[in-house]
Amino acid sequence: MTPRRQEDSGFLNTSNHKILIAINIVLLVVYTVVIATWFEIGALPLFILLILSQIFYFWQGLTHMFTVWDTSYLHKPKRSRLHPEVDVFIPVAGEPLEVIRETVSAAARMRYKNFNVYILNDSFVAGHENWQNVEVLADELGVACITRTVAGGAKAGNINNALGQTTAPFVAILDADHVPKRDFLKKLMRHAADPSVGFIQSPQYYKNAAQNEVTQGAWDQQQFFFGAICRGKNRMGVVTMCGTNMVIRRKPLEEVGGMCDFNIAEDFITGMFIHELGYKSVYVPEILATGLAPEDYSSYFKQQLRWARGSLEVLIRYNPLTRRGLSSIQKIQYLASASFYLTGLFVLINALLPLIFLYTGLVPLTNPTMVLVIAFLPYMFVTLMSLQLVSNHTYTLKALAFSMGSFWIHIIAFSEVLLGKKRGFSVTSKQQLEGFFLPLVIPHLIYFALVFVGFFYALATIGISTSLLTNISWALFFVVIFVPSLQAAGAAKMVYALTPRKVVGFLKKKFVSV
Amino acid sequence: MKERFLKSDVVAILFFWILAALIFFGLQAGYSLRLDESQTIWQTSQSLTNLLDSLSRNVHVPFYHISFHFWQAWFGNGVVVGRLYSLLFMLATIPSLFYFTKRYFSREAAFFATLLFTLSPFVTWFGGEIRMYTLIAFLTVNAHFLYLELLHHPRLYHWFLYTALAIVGVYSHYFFWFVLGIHFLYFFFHRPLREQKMMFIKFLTVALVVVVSFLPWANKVLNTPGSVADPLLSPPKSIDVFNVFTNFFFGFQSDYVNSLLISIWPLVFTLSFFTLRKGFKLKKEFYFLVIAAFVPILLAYVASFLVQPMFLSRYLIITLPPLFIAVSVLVTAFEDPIKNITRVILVALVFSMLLVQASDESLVAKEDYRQATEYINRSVTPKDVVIVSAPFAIYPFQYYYDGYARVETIPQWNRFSGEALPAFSRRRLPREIDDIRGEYKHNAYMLMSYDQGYEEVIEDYMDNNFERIEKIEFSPRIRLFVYRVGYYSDRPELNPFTQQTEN
Repeated sequence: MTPRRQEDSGFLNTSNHKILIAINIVLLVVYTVVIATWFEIGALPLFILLILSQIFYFWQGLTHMFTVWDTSYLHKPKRSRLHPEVDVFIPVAGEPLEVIRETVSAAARMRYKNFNVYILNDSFVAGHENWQNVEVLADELGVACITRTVAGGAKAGNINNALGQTTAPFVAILDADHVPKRDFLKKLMRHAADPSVGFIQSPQYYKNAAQNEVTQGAWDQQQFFFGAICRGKNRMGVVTMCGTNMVIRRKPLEEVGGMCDFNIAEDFITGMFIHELGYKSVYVPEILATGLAPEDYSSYFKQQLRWARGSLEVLIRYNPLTRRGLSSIQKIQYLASASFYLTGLFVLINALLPLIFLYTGLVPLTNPTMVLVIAFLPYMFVTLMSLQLVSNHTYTLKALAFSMGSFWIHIIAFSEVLLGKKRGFSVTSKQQLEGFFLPLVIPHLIYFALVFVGFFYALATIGISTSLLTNISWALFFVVIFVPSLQAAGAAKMVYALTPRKVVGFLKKKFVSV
Repeated sequence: MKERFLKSDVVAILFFWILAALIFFGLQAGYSLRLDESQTIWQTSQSLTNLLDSLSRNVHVPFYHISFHFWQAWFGNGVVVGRLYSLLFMLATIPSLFYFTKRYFSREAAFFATLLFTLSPFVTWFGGEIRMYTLIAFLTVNAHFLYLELLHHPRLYHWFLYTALAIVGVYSHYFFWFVLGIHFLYFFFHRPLREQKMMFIKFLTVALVVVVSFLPWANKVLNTPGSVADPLLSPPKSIDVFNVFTNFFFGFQSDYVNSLLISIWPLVFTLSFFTLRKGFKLKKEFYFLVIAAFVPILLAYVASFLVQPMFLSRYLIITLPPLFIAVSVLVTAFEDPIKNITRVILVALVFSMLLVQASDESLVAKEDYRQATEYINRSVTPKDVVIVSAPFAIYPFQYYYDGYARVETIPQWNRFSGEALPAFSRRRLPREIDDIRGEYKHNAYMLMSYDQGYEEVIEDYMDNNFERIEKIEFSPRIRLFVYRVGYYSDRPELNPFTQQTEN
């Protein structure tokens, strides 16, 4: 049973902190200049890596601060007595029936004059034996069901299939686990009166956030995105399409050929295509539907990998800078969003630098004086402070740790994109898988081991020195940051399972393969 | 009953007082009189007029010295008695700090901040030194407290107390102006000015009263021929900024230990991430503390280049209480077990550094003038001469000295003249030495400490021109050289085996 929690919309109540952000930008620039120019270069390859990562963080930091500079903008809906027809699509592909039932029932009960609910059943093409159960459920609830018989395009293909069989000028999309509130359509459709609005997005909200380490971490990450970042993007007319809890105008959707079915982040890229046509996007910062976070690390891993793959594919194959219809700000924003998933690469680089010192004594900067610290610490402290204030005190260490701890996911995604490896769309599981997922955090475990061994190795070879202490302190930072990923993967439970009393039972069970 | 006892603020304060007293009597009280202390005793043992004249040529303002003048008059000029005066201010700061933190943050933070304060090797050092620094800490905490009270719950007596305290503060240390400056700065962050015009006018009135009260002293200093009889300071380096923080938490450690402590700075950065907690909001008063803890350091650093070097961690003790409170508030905000682990490690580290500071004889400012002077007292005859260098080291030497030989300094300086310390001249050195030794002196006892850059030159000159017959290092920076500088009327005892004088 999923534990319910009192709805907390604090993450949406963001406020502006322009002075602080301005100070943050100045400190970011100062730090970048200091690290790039102030000190004697040590090992050149390490210095190049350090500078590359700093350039990346500079880019990410600057675009982030530009995004959250002003989060107060709200789109003013045009007055209209019309209630255009909406087709509500609920794509399903093997989710538990009770989850679908809750969503469909709630959708059917929405307060809006003119809408039709469709369950888009992909269970057949997904090879689920009990695919007919969804049709039975649709009959039971009095809604239509469109079962696809020809596979292709995953979720996007399912939606496009339904688009061909329906006609309403607006399409609302809800994931199978996202239960809409009664005023979902009413509040989103207010903004549809403006014919230049292409799609209207509302936030995702995970009602199971408190269930375990994974759901909490996933939610902590999400609320920053759906809080300050989406509100900032709203100001710039470049709202990210998120695939659920949204309404799309059929015309532009059909103009771009339906949901993009050749990219596994179909929502992100479809949103970009619609923006390219000159349509506006609106973000409504109100919880209008509640969904489920991935409940186990394996599901979280798959979800993140899908997002990372899709976004990086946009970066490499659909370079936003070359998209003609996008405004300059939209180009920059899409580039920033897509490139976020390169973070893992630079997290790895930064995590490796202290390790390289421990084993080789090589450093990127030979004699960094306290000027480095004077430039770095205020920058970081102000960054943390602005993260807290901009997010209305909802940003957490766990959110940061999950983002940075996903470095391996980002690297896998990046290498798959570079190699052109195909990866199908996999639905995020709506049920918790039991077991341990340590294979997914092997890179983290290797890092821990290398730090441990490296410390003693450096102690023996270099001896105790300020450089050793600084580097081991840096390595410990990454250890601290990676611990939540380990916890989420069930490391603590496994340690418990490996106590003598449990060892026999543990051996009987076996790891769940992922 | 037991729980009530443990939660009692009075019990907590008593606990910190006992702890502070134990540290004072166990580790601090017995040290030899140090240079700065001896200077204080010498200045305050004069008449009030002379005392003011002397201070007007010095770097300090007179409140502490005047009050200490009366303290000495009542209780005598013993070293421990003098140090007790500083301890009193440290003890008085403890409840102020505790109550301040409790009122604006939490009892948990108050307990931790006060524990850090009581154990801090830096605070305990000045709690046992005859100087004004614990008085400044006391005034700073209370000035900050009254200031916040004025912003939140202004009462008439708060205004009077604040004004009185501000006047005492600026007469206790020039750096107290930074404290008042921070209050002025924060005022504009607190609320829009239009909402608090009346309060702004009241603050301006207080500022005017404080400035007018300070004018007589400013006038005296400006009209006194300048003289600074303190060691000259060098412009600060970036490492000095961090040394302020390591000094505050870990006291005066060797350069090696200090650099190791500073090198783990990424851990501070890591710990700051634990404040990223949902719903964790820092109160406005926290930002006040941050400003009060860091801005004076920044200003002193900049002013050291723009005006004159003034960057000393002891001057910056005005930033210590807000820093300790801010750190305690942040650490208290961590989730368990990180919170408890951090607290235990920090307290253990601070306490162990306190013990290191107390036991390591090589650490700075632990000059054993008593031992050196007692040796000279036993050794000198009226036909010898004692030479002290640097000249200002005459103060601690004189406190313990009761020998028969004449005492001189190099460079030659008459401290009673009120003139500035003369600059050292390599060219003038031979003549000065000749002047000092005269024709009838036997041995010159040269006490060298506080090298001002010319110690080696003097040592070389003496070694090249006179026979060195003894060299003793009493503590790492206090060395005694004995040279034969004249004829003996009765020959010194010769070593029966070598037929040479003992050395």
